[in-house]
Amino acid sequence: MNKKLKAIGSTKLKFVILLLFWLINNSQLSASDYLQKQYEFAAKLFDEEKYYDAITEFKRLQFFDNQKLYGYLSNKMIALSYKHGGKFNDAVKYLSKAELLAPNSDSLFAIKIEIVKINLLRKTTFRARDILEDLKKDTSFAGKENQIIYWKAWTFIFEEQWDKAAELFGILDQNHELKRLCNNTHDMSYSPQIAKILSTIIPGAGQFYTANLLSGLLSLGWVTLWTYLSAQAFLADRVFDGLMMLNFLDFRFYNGNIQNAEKFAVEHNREISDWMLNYLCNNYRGEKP
Amino acid sequence: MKFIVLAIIYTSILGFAQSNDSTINSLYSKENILKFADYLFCEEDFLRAAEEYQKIDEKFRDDKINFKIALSFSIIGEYSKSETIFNRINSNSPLYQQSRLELLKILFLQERFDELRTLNKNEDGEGDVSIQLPIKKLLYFSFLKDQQVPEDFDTFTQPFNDNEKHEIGLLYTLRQNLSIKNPLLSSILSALVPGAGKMYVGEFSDGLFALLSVGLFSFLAYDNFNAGHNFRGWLFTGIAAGFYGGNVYGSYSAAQIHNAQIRYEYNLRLDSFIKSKNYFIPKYDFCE
Amino acid sequence: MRFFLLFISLLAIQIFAQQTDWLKWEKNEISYTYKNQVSENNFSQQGISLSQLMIESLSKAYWFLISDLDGDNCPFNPSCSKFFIQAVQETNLPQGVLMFFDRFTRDINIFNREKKYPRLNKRYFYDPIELYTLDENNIRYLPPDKIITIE
Repeated sequence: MNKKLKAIGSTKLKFVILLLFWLINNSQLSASDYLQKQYEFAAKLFDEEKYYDAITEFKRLQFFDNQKLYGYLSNKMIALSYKHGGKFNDAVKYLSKAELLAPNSDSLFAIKIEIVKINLLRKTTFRARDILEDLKKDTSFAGKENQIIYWKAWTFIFEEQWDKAAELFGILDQNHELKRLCNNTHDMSYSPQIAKILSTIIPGAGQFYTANLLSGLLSLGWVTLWTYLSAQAFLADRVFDGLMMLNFLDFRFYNGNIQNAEKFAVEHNREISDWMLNYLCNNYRGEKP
Repeated sequence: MKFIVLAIIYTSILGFAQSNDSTINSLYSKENILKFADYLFCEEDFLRAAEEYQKIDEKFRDDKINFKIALSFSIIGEYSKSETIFNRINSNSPLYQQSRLELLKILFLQERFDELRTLNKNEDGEGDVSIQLPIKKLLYFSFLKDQQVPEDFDTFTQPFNDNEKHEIGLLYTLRQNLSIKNPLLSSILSALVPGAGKMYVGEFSDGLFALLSVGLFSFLAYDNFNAGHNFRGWLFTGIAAGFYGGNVYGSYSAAQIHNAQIRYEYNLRLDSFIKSKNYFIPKYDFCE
Repeated sequence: MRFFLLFISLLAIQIFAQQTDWLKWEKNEISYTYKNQVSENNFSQQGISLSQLMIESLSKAYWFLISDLDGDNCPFNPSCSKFFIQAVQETNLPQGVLMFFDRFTRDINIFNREKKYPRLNKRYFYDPIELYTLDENNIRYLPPDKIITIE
């Protein structure tokens, strides 16, 4: 009888222990389960490119995530959502929050690079370079020098300093695809300085240099005409007419010719740069902003 | 043993059902939606807050929730949505008076001053003083906004407290003395003496250059006619006439632009004052 | 008109800029280039009537033969020639001529410009025709300390 009682007692005890264990285990699992489900739901909205709604759901996750288990991830995802909406300042704000919650130095580095990318997209390249310089000085990121050089080269791409960008990509790999592309873009550009100097020496020459023959001829024509007419006026002692013509017409077209040559070079470079930037944005398969 | 297994299955079902309803786990229960919406509201994420509050079934939404939805829409500039919801707040509700005040604010912001005055007239004397006074202030302030002449100074400044009275007094005096210029007079002055109209509206250098250009080209025309250069004479006459006509025309538009500037600057001052006073609406304690 | 729309949109952005998310937004395609660059020689006209075609052709010829070659002499935007063309389009020839002469008088006045006109892209004084059509409803006063930017 005693044995039987003992057996019943130990069965009951086992049951109570099992039940308690299960309850504790189950309730904990449920809480983190719901957060996990919420994260997946928000991430799904992100994948579906519903970025505004994704932010709402990531914020909900943050609100109920008392232990900040998803602090780093949710802030990063909110930042990326803002990035895809073109809201770069908000993106940086949330990346800075993620930075504080980064679990390790690799994650921290990844966030810093994301901030660099946003600065590239919002054309604050000087800020991007400052961050890269700080990363370079930080010993905890030793071994990541190549990545830092890579992104520094991108800052020059966004400043359209194609030769400097090519040089940096060359440090990473002499045959780097981006080095080749940047060099090509640089080679296809005209120097606005040369265009200006040429047109200063011979009106229209800068336009010839930038392959705008008709405009070059017209510029040369105007300057020749007004120089001739004002010279004639001076020779005929019509000093007032001569001065007026020289000042308001001859000098105007001469200066205009220099501006015009520079403008052609700048416009041409703008077109080439835009073409290359669009190409990189849409077709380059490597790491990019 | 069978009992134990059954018990575990039973409790696990029970546990699951509980976890669905519990406040920790179910992020989408009514209470949690409300908590999250309140959080968004206090974070000033007003569109998200409004949408979140609206996820709660209308049957379960009390006046406070509806008020916050309407307030959120009002703050983000969705005035028509806001108006509809404020209008639905029942006259028995403790938030009724505040919602009338918020409605008046919307009318004020949309510069629907006639409606503001009608709505105010209909409710004159209703409600307690803490609401009646802000309503009166907003109404009186609206007189400074549009072209209506305010009542006499003492009556006008009467609802305002000592802190507000000084600036209100200044704004009242400024309103009475806005240096509005007459475009027609400006044009006539320039017709009589080129540039005079521009000077009258305060554009002294523009007026001077108008006088110089009309004068110079008239002189050149006169000089060329005298020297027998008829073509040049007529050319310069044409240019002088162009400058003269352009100046008469430009003096009219200069007066219009001057008046627009005066009103712009005055309105800027009005807006910054009333914003700093939160449209005379007492602060809510929703986020304290 | 383009600038007027730009101004309105800037105003709308300013009003609601306190919080990015107070207006629902959609995905924005990432682009590496600057958007909305101002075209310097856009004289294109709406409609295809003969007179408009003539104005367009004359404007283009003027731009190609003279305006583009005599340099950037006008501190205003729109430039005097564009101001004239826009004024004629918006009103009529005689009124356009009067508006042009008034603008030209203001152009030769080198004093106090920075206290009178807002800046466009920090470079030009912004002086749109809307201010000068004599229709008070068209006048959107912009204070001189304002810088209008086109990214």
